[in-house]
Amino acid sequence: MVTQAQTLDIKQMLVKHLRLRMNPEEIEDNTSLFGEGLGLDSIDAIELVTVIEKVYGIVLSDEEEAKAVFRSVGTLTEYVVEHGGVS
Amino acid sequence: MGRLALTGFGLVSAAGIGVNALRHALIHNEKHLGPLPPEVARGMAVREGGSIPNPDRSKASPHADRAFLACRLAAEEALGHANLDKDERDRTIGFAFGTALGSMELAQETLFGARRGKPDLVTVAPQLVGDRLARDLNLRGPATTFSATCVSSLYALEQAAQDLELARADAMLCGGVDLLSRFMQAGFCLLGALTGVTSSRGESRPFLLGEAACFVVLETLAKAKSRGAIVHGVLNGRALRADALHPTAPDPEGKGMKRAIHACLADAGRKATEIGSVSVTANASPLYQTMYGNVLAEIFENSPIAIESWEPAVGHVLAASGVLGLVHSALGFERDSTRSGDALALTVGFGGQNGATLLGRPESEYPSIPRARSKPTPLPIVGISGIGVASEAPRDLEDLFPGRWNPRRELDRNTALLLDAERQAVTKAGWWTNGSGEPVSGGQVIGVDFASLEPSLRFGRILAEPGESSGNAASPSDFLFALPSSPAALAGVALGLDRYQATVTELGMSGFQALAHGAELLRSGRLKRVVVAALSHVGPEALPVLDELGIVASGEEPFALAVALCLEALDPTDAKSIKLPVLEETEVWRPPSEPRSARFATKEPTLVTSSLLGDLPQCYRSLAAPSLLALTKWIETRLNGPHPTRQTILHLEPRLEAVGAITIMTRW
Repeated sequence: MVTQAQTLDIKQMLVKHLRLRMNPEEIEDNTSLFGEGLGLDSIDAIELVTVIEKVYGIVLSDEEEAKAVFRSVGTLTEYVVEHGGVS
Repeated sequence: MGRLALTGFGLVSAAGIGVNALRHALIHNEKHLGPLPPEVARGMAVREGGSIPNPDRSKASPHADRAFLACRLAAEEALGHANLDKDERDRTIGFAFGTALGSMELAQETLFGARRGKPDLVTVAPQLVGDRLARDLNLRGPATTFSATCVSSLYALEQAAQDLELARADAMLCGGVDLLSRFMQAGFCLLGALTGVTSSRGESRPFLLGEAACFVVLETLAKAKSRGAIVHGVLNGRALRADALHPTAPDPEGKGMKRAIHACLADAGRKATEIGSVSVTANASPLYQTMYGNVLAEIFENSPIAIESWEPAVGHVLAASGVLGLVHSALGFERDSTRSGDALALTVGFGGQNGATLLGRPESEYPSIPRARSKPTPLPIVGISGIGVASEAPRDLEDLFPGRWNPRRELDRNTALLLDAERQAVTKAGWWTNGSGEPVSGGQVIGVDFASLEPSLRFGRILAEPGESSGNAASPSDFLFALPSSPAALAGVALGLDRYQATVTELGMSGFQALAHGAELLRSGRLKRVVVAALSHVGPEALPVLDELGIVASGEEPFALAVALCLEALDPTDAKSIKLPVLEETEVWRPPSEPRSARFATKEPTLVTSSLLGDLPQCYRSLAAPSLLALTKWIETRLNGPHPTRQTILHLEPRLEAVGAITIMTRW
């Protein structure tokens, strides 16, 4: 079960490392990372993989798994929490 | 303009020292890629590449790093191959050079590593390895360095062509270098670029970087023939186009590359059916493989052609790629005398850059110079139709480019400044409307001095940390922002500047160099409009390093400025309708070269830029953006005077002992 604090932590990570022009609180949990949501692209995806490893120590090396994980802020949060990234 | 002859070449690559090493490698299908030295590979996701043999440092000065030594070897080979004596008094040889990161290895070692000590100029501006080489060779012609990632040496080629056309030199030494420092290797690993491809037959081809320094000697065909030089190829066509879609990835449909190829063929007066061979760079990268597949299927729809590359032998050689394409084309003529047709070489670079060169066999028939190539008659007048100045970017800047820039992503400071100055200029020129999302569709020539120093320091500091994690501890953006050409690439995406995207790195002279280069693109008919800009940024982290070098005064505040001018080619037969300020002549020179233009040689009445910049701290007045600011201030004060006024304005760059001169008229 993901807590609000854990979700906020992920949102803060996204804002800081991807230089997003918004407050973390403005991001909805079900916002998609790509396309109409945050509008990230393929290079941003690579950056996100690097950031997740750097900040949470989680290595995401499978492309198909990454696509599922990066579907939304919510799926990303669940994945990171599940893998012990956010306490 | 007349055709250019390739009369000499020189190379240091992973295959060895000298062009012969690559010649041998290509004939025998050798591969010279393998483990990188531990000091480069430590902590990297990919630890293989193509390393050059270590040059002999025993007789070199302590600051002669591998990049300089490799360049020296390749340059001397090229001059020798062309049978040119650089000290010959009745022949002037000029220099045009491209590098993404230059002597970055030396910079990092001096700032953070084994050679830690007082930095010198090349430490804070590693692209100055070009200037250092031109001085070492005592070349008496003009010298210019570009930094535009992997197409850098093709912008140098364009400059070389300009200098030959304007008779500023009798021959041009044109080339590029990049080495595999931790900086470069980490950057490509972080971008996930080194993944390779697998063919439908299950064969995998890695995409690996390789080190190289490569030079060619170019002369006009007429001059080459008159001195009895051996002509190894004739540069029939050349073109550069930008996708202006993404900061790093190419357009998968390859629209920019298609435009480059079509423009190159038009330049040469050739058709696709007259191409005998095609070489490409980076086609072992999945993104570029897709792009090339789409492009070549369309261009060669009726006559499929096999593509070639030197990269399986020596790796992707970064800034040296463009000129190595010419060398590869010439070697191809040697290897197969039965194959007819010109050799097309395609080069790609970050920021969706696309370059094409077409080299013809020395003995082939040349069509008369095509209209696309002929210099316009009479020459266009270069008008200044818009000016923009930015020292702070507006908060809502990211919202102004719908469909071109994700407004949710914050721009870095360097790009924001440059983009805002350019936005102001293109708006005043009437080329663009805020929020329209339509591309400006012009060229871009940017001059930078120290803007990338601060991001380089940050990235370099991370890479210098001991242990295995340092290679992955940074982010892709950390690398991108440390490239001098990134602000131009990002601003080009936002504004849709898809014709040309050069970045000049000549310290404080970069602004005037950019102006000279951009103006000549218009006069020669190669472009109709171009944004010329300069970006200067000395941030708080860069200040102490520049203070140590005496470039800024102790206790000085940080400084940031971007200035942009829109240049348009105007019809001189319509002169009475021209109400814009006009750029008449531009030239830059440094010892031992002298100005060629009679106007500058006779020192007609001049102003110096620093005298027009009284409100700036003295130490910043010699920088690139202030040099263009001075021009705009002069224009502002004289524009509405009762009579047209002509003025020559000089800019002095003391660190390079360089002088730039521009003559402007308030109106025609």
